[in-house]
Amino acid sequence: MSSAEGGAPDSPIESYLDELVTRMPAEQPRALRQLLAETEAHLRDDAARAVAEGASLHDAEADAVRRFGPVPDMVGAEQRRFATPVSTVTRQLFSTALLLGSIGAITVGLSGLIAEVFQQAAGARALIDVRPGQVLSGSDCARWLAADPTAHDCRAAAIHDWVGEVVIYRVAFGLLGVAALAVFLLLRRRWTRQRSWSMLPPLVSDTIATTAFATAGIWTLGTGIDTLAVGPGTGYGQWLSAAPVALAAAMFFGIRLVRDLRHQPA
Amino acid sequence: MRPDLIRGHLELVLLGILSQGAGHGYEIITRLRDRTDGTFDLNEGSVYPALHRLEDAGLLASDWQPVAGRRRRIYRVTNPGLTALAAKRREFSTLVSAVESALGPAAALSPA
Repeated sequence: MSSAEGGAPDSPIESYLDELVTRMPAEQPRALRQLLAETEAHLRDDAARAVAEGASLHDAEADAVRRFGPVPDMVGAEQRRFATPVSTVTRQLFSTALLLGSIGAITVGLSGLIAEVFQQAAGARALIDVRPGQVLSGSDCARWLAADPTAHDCRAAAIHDWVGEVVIYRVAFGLLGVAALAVFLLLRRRWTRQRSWSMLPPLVSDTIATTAFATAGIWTLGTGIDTLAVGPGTGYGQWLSAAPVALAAAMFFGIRLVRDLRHQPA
Repeated sequence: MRPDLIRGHLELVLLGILSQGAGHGYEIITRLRDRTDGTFDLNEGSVYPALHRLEDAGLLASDWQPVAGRRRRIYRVTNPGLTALAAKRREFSTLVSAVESALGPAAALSPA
Protein backbone atom coordinates (compact mmCIF):
# COMPACT_ATOMS: atom_id res chain seq x y z
CA MET A 1 0.00 0.00 0.00
CA SER A 2 1.51 3.33 -1.00
CA SER A 3 2.06 6.26 1.30
CA ALA A 4 -0.51 8.15 -0.72
CA GLU A 5 -3.22 5.76 0.48
CA GLY A 6 -5.70 8.17 2.07
CA GLY A 7 -8.78 7.26 4.01
CA ALA A 8 -8.99 10.54 5.92
CA PRO A 9 -12.53 11.94 6.22
CA ASP A 10 -11.65 14.86 3.91
CA SER A 11 -9.73 12.71 1.41
CA PRO A 12 -10.72 13.80 -2.14
CA ILE A 13 -10.19 10.24 -3.39
CA GLU A 14 -12.46 8.77 -0.71
CA SER A 15 -15.14 11.36 -1.50
CA TYR A 16 -14.82 10.63 -5.22
CA LEU A 17 -15.18 6.88 -4.68
CA ASP A 18 -18.17 7.44 -2.36
CA GLU A 19 -19.88 9.50 -5.07
CA LEU A 20 -19.10 6.85 -7.68
CA VAL A 21 -20.74 4.15 -5.55
CA THR A 22 -23.77 6.35 -4.94
CA ARG A 23 -24.29 7.22 -8.59
CA MET A 24 -23.61 3.90 -10.29
CA PRO A 25 -26.80 1.87 -10.84
CA ALA A 26 -27.14 -1.09 -8.50
CA GLU A 27 -28.29 -3.37 -11.36
CA GLN A 28 -24.69 -3.87 -12.47
CA PRO A 29 -22.90 -4.87 -9.25
CA ARG A 30 -19.93 -6.49 -11.00
CA ALA A 31 -19.38 -3.48 -13.27
CA LEU A 32 -19.55 -1.25 -10.19
CA ARG A 33 -17.04 -3.33 -8.22
CA GLN A 34 -14.61 -3.48 -11.12
CA LEU A 35 -14.93 0.18 -11.99
CA LEU A 36 -14.43 1.08 -8.34
CA ALA A 37 -11.27 -1.06 -8.11
CA GLU A 38 -9.85 0.40 -11.35
CA THR A 39 -10.71 3.95 -10.37
CA GLU A 40 -9.21 3.62 -6.91
CA ALA A 41 -6.01 2.03 -8.26
CA HIS A 42 -5.70 4.83 -10.83
CA LEU A 43 -6.31 7.66 -8.37
CA ARG A 44 -3.96 6.21 -5.74
CA ASP A 45 -1.21 5.68 -8.36
CA ASP A 46 -1.60 9.23 -9.63
CA ALA A 47 -1.62 10.72 -6.11
CA ALA A 48 1.41 8.62 -5.11
CA ARG A 49 3.33 9.92 -8.13
CA ALA A 50 2.54 13.53 -7.20
CA VAL A 51 3.43 12.94 -3.54
CA ALA A 52 6.76 11.45 -4.66
CA GLU A 53 7.34 14.67 -6.62
CA GLY A 54 6.78 16.72 -3.47
CA ALA A 55 3.08 17.59 -3.41
CA SER A 56 1.06 17.32 -0.20
CA LEU A 57 -1.19 14.26 0.01
CA HIS A 58 -4.37 16.35 -0.06
CA ASP A 59 -3.27 18.40 -3.08
CA ALA A 60 -2.06 15.27 -4.87
CA GLU A 61 -5.42 13.55 -4.34
CA ALA A 62 -7.35 16.66 -5.38
CA ASP A 63 -5.30 16.90 -8.61
CA ALA A 64 -5.75 13.19 -9.33
CA VAL A 65 -9.52 13.53 -8.91
CA ARG A 66 -9.65 16.65 -11.11
CA ARG A 67 -7.69 14.98 -13.91
CA PHE A 68 -9.88 11.89 -13.69
CA GLY A 69 -12.99 13.93 -14.51
CA PRO A 70 -16.47 14.40 -12.98
CA VAL A 71 -18.24 11.32 -11.60
CA PRO A 72 -21.45 11.90 -13.65
CA ASP A 73 -19.41 11.79 -16.90
CA MET A 74 -17.85 8.51 -15.84
CA VAL A 75 -21.16 6.99 -14.75
CA GLY A 76 -22.92 8.23 -17.91
CA ALA A 77 -20.29 6.63 -20.14
CA GLU A 78 -20.51 3.36 -18.22
CA GLN A 79 -24.31 3.35 -18.34
CA ARG A 80 -24.25 3.80 -22.12
CA ARG A 81 -22.41 0.48 -22.29
CA PHE A 82 -25.40 -1.27 -20.77
CA ALA A 83 -28.06 0.62 -22.72
CA THR A 84 -30.30 -1.65 -24.78
CA PRO A 85 -29.58 -1.21 -28.52
CA VAL A 86 -32.33 0.41 -30.63
CA SER A 87 -32.60 -2.75 -32.76
CA THR A 88 -33.36 -4.79 -29.63
CA VAL A 89 -35.92 -2.26 -28.39
CA THR A 90 -37.59 -2.32 -31.84
CA ARG A 91 -37.72 -6.10 -31.74
CA GLN A 92 -39.10 -6.03 -28.18
CA LEU A 93 -41.81 -3.55 -29.17
CA PHE A 94 -42.70 -5.58 -32.27
CA SER A 95 -42.90 -8.95 -30.50
CA THR A 96 -44.86 -7.54 -27.54
CA ALA A 97 -47.26 -5.66 -29.84
CA LEU A 98 -47.74 -8.82 -31.92
CA LEU A 99 -48.55 -10.91 -28.83
CA LEU A 100 -50.87 -8.36 -27.22
CA GLY A 101 -52.47 -7.53 -30.58
CA SER A 102 -53.17 -11.19 -31.31
CA ILE A 103 -54.62 -11.75 -27.82
CA GLY A 104 -56.76 -8.63 -28.29
CA ALA A 105 -58.02 -9.90 -31.65
CA ILE A 106 -58.78 -13.33 -30.17
CA THR A 107 -60.85 -11.71 -27.39
CA VAL A 108 -62.79 -9.82 -30.08
CA GLY A 109 -63.41 -13.17 -31.80
CA LEU A 110 -64.65 -14.71 -28.55
CA SER A 111 -66.96 -11.74 -28.06
CA GLY A 112 -68.40 -12.56 -31.52
CA LEU A 113 -69.24 -16.07 -30.32
CA ILE A 114 -70.88 -14.65 -27.19
CA ALA A 115 -72.78 -12.21 -29.41
CA GLU A 116 -74.15 -15.20 -31.34
CA VAL A 117 -75.28 -16.74 -28.04
CA PHE A 118 -76.99 -13.42 -27.17
CA GLN A 119 -78.79 -13.49 -30.48
CA GLN A 120 -79.94 -17.08 -30.03
CA ALA A 121 -81.05 -16.45 -26.45
CA ALA A 122 -82.58 -12.97 -26.58
CA GLY A 123 -83.15 -12.28 -30.27
CA ALA A 124 -81.43 -10.12 -32.85
CA ARG A 125 -82.76 -6.82 -31.48
CA ALA A 126 -81.18 -7.54 -28.10
CA LEU A 127 -77.85 -7.68 -29.88
CA ILE A 128 -78.26 -4.66 -32.12
CA ASP A 129 -81.12 -2.38 -33.04
CA VAL A 130 -81.95 0.72 -35.02
CA ARG A 131 -81.30 3.68 -32.73
CA PRO A 132 -84.26 5.95 -31.91
CA GLY A 133 -84.38 8.67 -34.55
CA GLN A 134 -81.93 6.86 -36.85
CA VAL A 135 -82.92 7.34 -40.52
CA LEU A 136 -82.44 4.38 -42.84
CA SER A 137 -81.85 5.53 -46.40
CA GLY A 138 -83.80 4.09 -49.31
CA SER A 139 -80.73 2.76 -51.06
CA ASP A 140 -79.55 0.99 -47.91
CA CYS A 141 -82.98 -0.48 -47.38
CA ALA A 142 -83.01 -1.79 -50.94
CA ARG A 143 -79.62 -3.42 -50.42
CA TRP A 144 -80.62 -4.99 -47.08
CA LEU A 145 -83.95 -6.25 -48.39
CA ALA A 146 -82.24 -7.73 -51.43
CA ALA A 147 -79.84 -9.59 -49.15
CA ASP A 148 -82.67 -10.84 -46.91
CA PRO A 149 -85.83 -11.38 -48.95
CA THR A 150 -87.62 -12.96 -45.95
CA ALA A 151 -87.48 -9.69 -43.96
CA HIS A 152 -90.86 -8.05 -43.61
CA ASP A 153 -89.53 -4.49 -43.51
CA CYS A 154 -86.38 -2.41 -43.86
CA ARG A 155 -85.71 -2.31 -40.12
CA ALA A 156 -85.75 -6.14 -39.86
CA ALA A 157 -83.47 -6.44 -42.91
CA ALA A 158 -81.06 -3.86 -41.45
CA ILE A 159 -80.92 -5.65 -38.10
CA HIS A 160 -80.31 -8.97 -39.85
CA ASP A 161 -77.42 -7.39 -41.77
CA TRP A 162 -75.89 -5.74 -38.70
CA VAL A 163 -76.14 -8.90 -36.59
CA GLY A 164 -74.18 -10.70 -39.28
CA GLU A 165 -71.54 -7.98 -39.15
CA VAL A 166 -71.31 -8.06 -35.35
CA VAL A 167 -70.92 -11.84 -35.22
CA ILE A 168 -69.06 -12.65 -38.43
CA TYR A 169 -66.68 -9.67 -38.45
CA ARG A 170 -65.71 -10.27 -34.84
CA VAL A 171 -65.17 -13.99 -35.37
CA ALA A 172 -63.15 -13.24 -38.51
CA PHE A 173 -61.05 -10.77 -36.52
CA GLY A 174 -60.54 -13.47 -33.89
CA LEU A 175 -59.30 -15.87 -36.57
CA LEU A 176 -56.85 -13.20 -37.70
CA GLY A 177 -55.72 -13.05 -34.07
CA VAL A 178 -55.15 -16.82 -34.05
CA ALA A 179 -53.07 -16.45 -37.25
CA ALA A 180 -51.09 -13.58 -35.66
CA LEU A 181 -50.51 -15.71 -32.55
CA ALA A 182 -49.20 -18.52 -34.78
CA VAL A 183 -46.81 -16.03 -36.44
CA PHE A 184 -45.72 -14.87 -32.99
CA LEU A 185 -44.97 -18.45 -31.88
CA LEU A 186 -43.04 -19.16 -35.08
CA LEU A 187 -40.97 -15.99 -34.70
CA ARG A 188 -40.31 -16.77 -31.06
CA ARG A 189 -39.03 -20.23 -31.99
CA ARG A 190 -36.84 -18.90 -34.79
CA TRP A 191 -35.42 -15.92 -32.86
CA THR A 192 -34.87 -18.01 -29.74
CA ARG A 193 -32.78 -20.39 -31.87
CA GLN A 194 -30.83 -17.36 -33.13
CA ARG A 195 -30.53 -16.12 -29.52
CA SER A 196 -32.16 -12.84 -30.52
CA TRP A 197 -35.58 -13.32 -28.92
CA SER A 198 -36.55 -10.46 -26.68
CA MET A 199 -39.76 -8.90 -25.39
CA LEU A 200 -40.55 -5.87 -23.28
CA PRO A 201 -40.22 -6.55 -19.55
CA PRO A 202 -43.34 -8.35 -18.19
CA LEU A 203 -44.04 -5.40 -15.89
CA VAL A 204 -44.42 -3.13 -18.94
CA SER A 205 -46.41 -5.50 -21.16
CA ASP A 206 -48.71 -6.58 -18.31
CA THR A 207 -49.36 -2.94 -17.39
CA ILE A 208 -50.24 -2.11 -21.00
CA ALA A 209 -52.48 -5.18 -21.36
CA THR A 210 -54.26 -4.70 -18.02
CA THR A 211 -54.93 -1.03 -18.77
CA ALA A 212 -56.17 -1.68 -22.30
CA PHE A 213 -58.41 -4.64 -21.46
CA ALA A 214 -59.75 -3.06 -18.25
CA THR A 215 -60.61 0.14 -20.14
CA ALA A 216 -62.33 -1.84 -22.90
CA GLY A 217 -64.15 -4.04 -20.37
CA ILE A 218 -65.41 -1.19 -18.20
CA TRP A 219 -66.43 0.90 -21.19
CA THR A 220 -68.37 -1.92 -22.92
CA LEU A 221 -69.96 -3.02 -19.64
CA GLY A 222 -70.98 0.54 -18.79
CA THR A 223 -72.37 1.21 -22.28
CA GLY A 224 -74.24 -2.11 -22.24
CA ILE A 225 -75.85 -1.42 -18.85
CA ASP A 226 -76.67 2.13 -19.93
CA THR A 227 -78.28 0.88 -23.15
CA LEU A 228 -80.27 -1.72 -21.23
CA ALA A 229 -81.36 0.38 -18.25
CA VAL A 230 -81.52 3.96 -19.50
CA GLY A 231 -81.64 3.57 -23.28
CA PRO A 232 -84.12 1.86 -25.52
CA GLY A 233 -83.62 -1.55 -23.86
CA THR A 234 -82.45 -3.18 -27.08
CA GLY A 235 -79.04 -3.39 -28.76
CA TYR A 236 -77.25 -3.94 -25.45
CA GLY A 237 -75.88 -7.33 -26.49
CA GLN A 238 -73.22 -5.91 -28.78
CA TRP A 239 -71.64 -4.28 -25.70
CA LEU A 240 -72.37 -6.92 -23.10
CA SER A 241 -70.94 -9.65 -25.36
CA ALA A 242 -67.60 -7.84 -25.42
CA ALA A 243 -67.41 -6.93 -21.73
CA PRO A 244 -66.88 -10.43 -20.21
CA VAL A 245 -63.93 -11.37 -22.44
CA ALA A 246 -62.29 -7.95 -22.02
CA LEU A 247 -62.72 -8.11 -18.25
CA ALA A 248 -61.47 -11.72 -18.13
CA ALA A 249 -58.36 -10.70 -20.09
CA ALA A 250 -57.91 -7.68 -17.79
CA MET A 251 -58.14 -9.96 -14.76
CA PHE A 252 -55.62 -12.41 -16.25
CA PHE A 253 -53.07 -9.68 -16.99
CA GLY A 254 -53.91 -7.88 -13.74
CA ILE A 255 -53.04 -11.00 -11.71
CA ARG A 256 -49.76 -11.29 -13.64
CA LEU A 257 -49.09 -7.60 -13.01
CA VAL A 258 -49.60 -7.98 -9.25
CA ARG A 259 -47.29 -11.00 -9.31
CA ASP A 260 -44.67 -8.98 -11.27
CA LEU A 261 -44.91 -6.12 -8.77
CA ARG A 262 -44.63 -8.44 -5.77
CA HIS A 263 -41.54 -10.11 -7.17
CA GLN A 264 -39.62 -7.01 -8.12
CA PRO A 265 -37.00 -5.72 -5.68
CA ALA A 266 -38.41 -3.30 -3.08
CA MET B 1 -5.90 19.69 -28.26
CA ARG B 2 -9.68 19.89 -27.84
CA PRO B 3 -11.01 16.81 -26.00
CA ASP B 4 -13.69 16.17 -28.66
CA LEU B 5 -10.99 15.76 -31.33
CA ILE B 6 -9.29 12.95 -29.45
CA ARG B 7 -12.57 11.41 -28.30
CA GLY B 8 -13.44 10.38 -31.86
CA HIS B 9 -10.14 8.53 -32.16
CA LEU B 10 -9.74 7.33 -28.57
CA GLU B 11 -10.44 3.71 -29.38
CA LEU B 12 -7.86 3.73 -32.20
CA VAL B 13 -5.29 5.30 -29.88
CA LEU B 14 -6.00 2.78 -27.10
CA LEU B 15 -5.76 -0.18 -29.47
CA GLY B 16 -2.51 1.26 -30.84
CA ILE B 17 -0.96 1.68 -27.39
CA LEU B 18 -2.05 -1.76 -26.21
CA SER B 19 -0.86 -3.42 -29.42
CA GLN B 20 2.65 -2.59 -28.22
CA GLY B 21 2.16 -4.29 -24.85
CA ALA B 22 -0.49 -5.13 -22.28
CA GLY B 23 -1.10 -2.71 -19.46
CA HIS B 24 -3.50 -1.44 -16.81
CA GLY B 25 -5.45 1.80 -17.06
CA TYR B 26 -3.01 4.12 -15.36
CA GLU B 27 -0.12 2.65 -17.34
CA ILE B 28 -2.01 3.18 -20.61
CA ILE B 29 -2.73 6.82 -19.76
CA THR B 30 0.89 7.40 -18.73
CA ARG B 31 2.07 5.93 -22.07
CA LEU B 32 -0.46 8.08 -23.93
CA ARG B 33 0.71 11.20 -22.10
CA ASP B 34 4.41 10.44 -22.61
CA ARG B 35 4.10 9.58 -26.29
CA THR B 36 2.03 12.59 -27.19
CA ASP B 37 3.90 15.02 -24.95
CA GLY B 38 0.64 15.88 -23.20
CA THR B 39 -1.13 16.85 -26.44
CA PHE B 40 -4.24 14.92 -25.52
CA ASP B 41 -5.90 16.76 -22.65
CA LEU B 42 -8.80 14.48 -21.84
CA ASN B 43 -10.40 13.40 -18.57
CA GLU B 44 -8.39 10.37 -17.57
CA GLY B 45 -11.53 8.65 -16.32
CA SER B 46 -12.96 8.63 -19.86
CA VAL B 47 -10.37 6.06 -20.85
CA TYR B 48 -11.96 3.34 -18.68
CA PRO B 49 -15.41 3.27 -20.33
CA ALA B 50 -13.60 3.23 -23.70
CA LEU B 51 -11.51 0.25 -22.58
CA HIS B 52 -14.67 -1.49 -21.36
CA ARG B 53 -16.44 -0.85 -24.66
CA LEU B 54 -13.50 -2.31 -26.56
CA GLU B 55 -13.58 -5.35 -24.30
CA ASP B 56 -17.35 -5.72 -24.79
CA ALA B 57 -16.69 -5.69 -28.54
CA GLY B 58 -14.10 -8.45 -28.18
CA LEU B 59 -11.23 -6.21 -29.34
CA LEU B 60 -9.57 -6.29 -25.92
CA ALA B 61 -9.36 -8.92 -23.20
CA SER B 62 -8.52 -8.32 -19.57
CA ASP B 63 -7.63 -10.14 -16.39
CA TRP B 64 -6.99 -9.08 -12.85
CA GLN B 65 -3.45 -9.37 -11.51
CA PRO B 66 -1.75 -8.07 -8.39
CA VAL B 67 0.72 -5.33 -9.39
CA ALA B 68 2.69 -3.34 -6.79
CA GLY B 69 0.43 -4.57 -4.00
CA ARG B 70 -2.81 -3.63 -5.70
CA ARG B 71 -5.29 -5.58 -7.89
CA ARG B 72 -5.05 -4.25 -11.45
CA ARG B 73 -7.03 -5.00 -14.52
CA ILE B 74 -4.54 -5.71 -17.26
CA TYR B 75 -5.77 -5.16 -20.81
CA ARG B 76 -4.36 -6.75 -23.93
CA VAL B 77 -5.38 -6.64 -27.59
CA THR B 78 -7.06 -9.73 -29.02
CA ASN B 79 -6.61 -10.97 -32.60
CA PRO B 80 -9.89 -9.33 -33.72
CA GLY B 81 -8.56 -6.20 -31.99
CA LEU B 82 -5.40 -6.27 -34.10
CA THR B 83 -7.48 -6.68 -37.25
CA ALA B 84 -9.72 -3.78 -36.18
CA LEU B 85 -6.64 -1.68 -35.40
CA ALA B 86 -5.27 -2.23 -38.91
CA ALA B 87 -8.60 -1.25 -40.45
CA LYS B 88 -9.02 1.83 -38.22
CA ARG B 89 -5.45 2.86 -38.95
CA ARG B 90 -6.09 2.71 -42.71
CA GLU B 91 -9.29 4.74 -42.29
CA PHE B 92 -7.48 7.32 -40.18
CA SER B 93 -4.60 7.63 -42.70
CA THR B 94 -7.10 8.12 -45.51
CA LEU B 95 -8.89 10.80 -43.46
CA VAL B 96 -5.66 12.65 -42.65
CA SER B 97 -4.54 12.56 -46.32
CA ALA B 98 -7.93 13.77 -47.49
CA VAL B 99 -8.04 16.64 -44.97
CA GLU B 100 -4.47 17.68 -45.84
CA SER B 101 -5.26 17.59 -49.56
CA ALA B 102 -8.35 19.70 -48.97
CA LEU B 103 -6.41 22.26 -46.92
CA GLY B 104 -3.62 22.65 -49.48
CA PRO B 105 -0.03 23.76 -48.68
CA ALA B 106 0.45 25.27 -45.23
CA ALA B 107 2.25 28.31 -46.74
CA ALA B 108 -0.93 29.30 -48.56
CA LEU B 109 -2.60 29.83 -45.17
CA SER B 110 -0.01 32.30 -43.91
CA PRO B 111 -1.30 35.87 -43.60
CA ALA B 112 0.10 38.16 -46.28
